[in-house]
Amino acid sequence: MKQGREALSRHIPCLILAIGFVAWPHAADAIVVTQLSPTATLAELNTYFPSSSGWTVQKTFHEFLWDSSPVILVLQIEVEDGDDVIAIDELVTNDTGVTWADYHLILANFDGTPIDANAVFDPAASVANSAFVDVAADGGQIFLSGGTVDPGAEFSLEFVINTDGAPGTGFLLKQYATPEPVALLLLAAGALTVRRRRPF
Amino acid sequence: MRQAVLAAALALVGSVPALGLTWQVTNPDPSLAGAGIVPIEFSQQVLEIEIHKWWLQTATAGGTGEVPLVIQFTREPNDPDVLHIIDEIIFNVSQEEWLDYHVSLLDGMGLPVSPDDASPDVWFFNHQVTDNWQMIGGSHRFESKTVTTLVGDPTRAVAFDWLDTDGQGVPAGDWFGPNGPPYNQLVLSNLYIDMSQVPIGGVFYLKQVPTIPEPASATLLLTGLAIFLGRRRRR
Repeated sequence: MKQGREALSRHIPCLILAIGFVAWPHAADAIVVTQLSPTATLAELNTYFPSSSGWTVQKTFHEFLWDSSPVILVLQIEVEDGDDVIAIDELVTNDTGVTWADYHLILANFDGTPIDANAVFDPAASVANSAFVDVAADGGQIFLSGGTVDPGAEFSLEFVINTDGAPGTGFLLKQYATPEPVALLLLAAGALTVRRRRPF
Repeated sequence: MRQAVLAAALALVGSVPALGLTWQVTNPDPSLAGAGIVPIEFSQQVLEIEIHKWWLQTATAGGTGEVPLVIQFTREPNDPDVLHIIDEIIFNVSQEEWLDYHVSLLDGMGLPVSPDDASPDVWFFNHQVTDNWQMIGGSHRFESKTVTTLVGDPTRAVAFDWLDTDGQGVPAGDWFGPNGPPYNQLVLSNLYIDMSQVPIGGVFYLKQVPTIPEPASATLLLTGLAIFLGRRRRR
C-alpha cells in the first residue's frame, strides 16, 4: 500500500505535465517547422514556438564548407490550421567563426519554383532586423545587406509570410549567409596553413 | 490531386530562362518525375544552384523499367567553368522504397561520359583536390558510395552510385505529414561540375535514377531472409 502511494507520488509531476499539455490551447499546432537540410552539424533549427507577435524561430549556422560555399538551411513549414498570415520573429546565431556580409531568405515550393500563390513574403510588412541596413524584398526573396554579423553574434529578423491558408499544405523557407570577402581570404589562408602542417 | 497540380506546374516551368546557365528537364514525362532549379548565385565567378527533384513513380508501367530524370544544361556566354550544385532535395513520392541511387553525366550527344575518355566534355570535380570524395555528394540515407573516376585521375569523376546495405533506403511517402519530408527525402550535397570544355551554347546532361530491387532479386532476397529467420528460430 505504502509502495503504491510512493509510486503514485513519483508520477504526479508527470501527470500534471500531461494534463497541462492536453489542456493547452492548440495555437501551437498552427504550423509545423521541420528541418530538411543540411545536417545539423552545419546549420540547425534550434527551436520554434508561438509568441505574442506570431512565431519565434531560432536557428544557428555552425560552419561554411571548405571553400566558403553557403550552407543553405532548408525548413519545411506545414500549415495545419488554415492560418493565412504567419508572422515570424527569428533569432539567427553566427557560430561559423566567420563574419557575415549579407543574409538571404528564399521561399520555394516543393517543386523548386521560387514563388507561388500559396506562400509569399508580405510586401506590405516591414522586414525589421538588427544587423543590416539595406533590405530588398519581393514575394519570393528577402536580401539583407549593408551590415555584418560577427562570429558569435546573433541578429533578429521579423517578416510575414502570406499563405493561401489551405490546411495540410506547406512550403519551404531557405536561408543562408555569405561570408565577408576579408573573412574569405583569412579562411583560405587558414586552410592553406592547416594543409601545410598536415603530416605526409 | 496535389500530384496533378505539381505535374501541371512542372509543365509550365520545365524550361526556365535565367541569368547565365539555362536548363530544361528532358526526361521523363512529368507524370513520372520532375525537377526544378533554384538559382542561388549567378555571376562570372560563381554559378551556384539548388535542385529539387521528385519521383511520382520509380518504375514504369509493368514494374520493371527505371525512371531516369535527365536535366539538360546549356552553357551561356560569361558562365564560369564550374557549376556548383549546393544541394539536391529529392522527394520519394512514388509507391516504392528506394534501395539505391545513381548519378551520372552525359555529354552533348546524350551519351554517358566514359571514364576512359582522355578529354571528356564534362566531369565532376573534387574541390578538395584529393581522391577523398567524402564531402562530395554527401548523403546520410545510403551506407555505400561508389565513385567512378576518370582513369588515371582520381580527382575527376563521371558517376556516383549510392547503395543501400542495411535494407533501409529512402521510403516512399507523401508531400506533407508524418510520411512527408524528411521521412521520404534524400539530400545530396555539393556536386561540382566542371564544364570548361563545353562550348558556349553547348549542352551537357545530368542524369539521376533511383532503383528498386528487380522482382527476381527481391524474391531471392525474401527467400534468403525467410531461410535465415527459420534457421534462427529452430536454434
